[in-house]
Amino acid sequence: MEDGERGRQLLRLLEPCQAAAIRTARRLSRSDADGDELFHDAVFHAFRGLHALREESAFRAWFFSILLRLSRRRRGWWQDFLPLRESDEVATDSTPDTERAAWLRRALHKLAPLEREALVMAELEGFSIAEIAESQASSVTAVKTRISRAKKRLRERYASAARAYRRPAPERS
Amino acid sequence: MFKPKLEQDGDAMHNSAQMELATDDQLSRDFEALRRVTGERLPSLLETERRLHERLRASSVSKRKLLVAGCVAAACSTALAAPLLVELSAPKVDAPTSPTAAPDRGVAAPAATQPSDADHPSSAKPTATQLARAKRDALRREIVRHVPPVNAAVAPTAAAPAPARAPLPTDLTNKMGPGREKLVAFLNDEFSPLLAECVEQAEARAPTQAGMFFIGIETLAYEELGAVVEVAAPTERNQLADPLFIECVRESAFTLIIPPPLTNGQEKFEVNGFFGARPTSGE
Repeated sequence: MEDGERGRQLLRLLEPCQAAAIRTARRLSRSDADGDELFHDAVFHAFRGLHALREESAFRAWFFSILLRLSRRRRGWWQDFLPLRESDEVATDSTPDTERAAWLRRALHKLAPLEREALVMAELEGFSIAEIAESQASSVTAVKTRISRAKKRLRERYASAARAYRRPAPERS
Repeated sequence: MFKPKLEQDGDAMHNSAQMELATDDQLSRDFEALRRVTGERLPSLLETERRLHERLRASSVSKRKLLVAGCVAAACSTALAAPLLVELSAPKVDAPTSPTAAPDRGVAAPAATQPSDADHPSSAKPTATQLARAKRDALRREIVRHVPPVNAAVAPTAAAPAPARAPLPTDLTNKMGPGREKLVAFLNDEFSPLLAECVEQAEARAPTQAGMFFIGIETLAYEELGAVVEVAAPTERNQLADPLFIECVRESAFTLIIPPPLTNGQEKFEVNGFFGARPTSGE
């Protein structure tokens, strides 16, 4: 298949789930800009591996599995080997929403990658447990455990921050 | 005496429940905020298409740059130019470059899943990987003339692939120094993406496996010519034993040419990372 034809096929398949994919990428990243980069990276990888997609109906789960894998890799050895950028923090424009989002993003990044992915996809993007399990190549039970563990850890983090500062957690930043 | 204790316990429970409610409330408000913030100004499909075209264009440029870099390295030494010309004018169809080598940066698909030029006997045109390997071997021969490697007897070349080696020792820690920083920077920029491709191919072959890989790298450098990777082999701690992965790493490493100026001699590094799902605590 020629590049042009492959590109058109990819964009056609991507169109229905592009917004959800970008939002998920942003929520898994330290900033919107990093999330957008992650998404475009996933599009490039999907383009290169499109020949491996057997059924178009499986595109959504297939694309999200690429996105999640790249997200893990970005956070994993790749960043351990390279110095972290100072600008990884969210650039806040000091609205209450961005401050709250920045706090939550930091808290999410303290979670294990699989737990973060499961929580973000379930709570923020409304994916079903079965869809998350397919994207993570895991069982439904494992995904449920991850979500519940992630919520528990987030609650603990919020509670300890609230105790430490004796004020609502988002005020900390 | 008993009652106050109960009251204290009751207060504690009440506070704890209040705290939990407040935390849940806070959490759901923050989720809502993150939902709003990250849902704004999403790139359009047109923007995605434009970025994809840019990446593809950049890929083909970087593929060309790989070939040019080899020629520049060759041009820095007149002695090097002759063997290179010989290698280039007589390309081998059955060149020893493995089909499992990571694709050159930007090649459309992993080499292991796509037929290469070498698969078509009618096409005598060497692949970019084969050319890069040939240039690396020519450069290595020149470097060895000036700086013989300690283990010259087993040093791999295209003509004589290295025999199976015992795993490298595990003490290849990343000792930074003035002579090593440039090598580390180069490996980060040029080798890591190739390594990532090898990991991806290994993950695709066995999606359920997970753990850490540890690759020992030894470079051989001559200050005026540059450096090549002399050894790329798993260390004792390596958990990704897939032979195709090891071969992919080796073949990819043996296409690298590190430009001068450098410090003479051999250096050792260890590159490690996760493959498959990154392990989480308690899973």
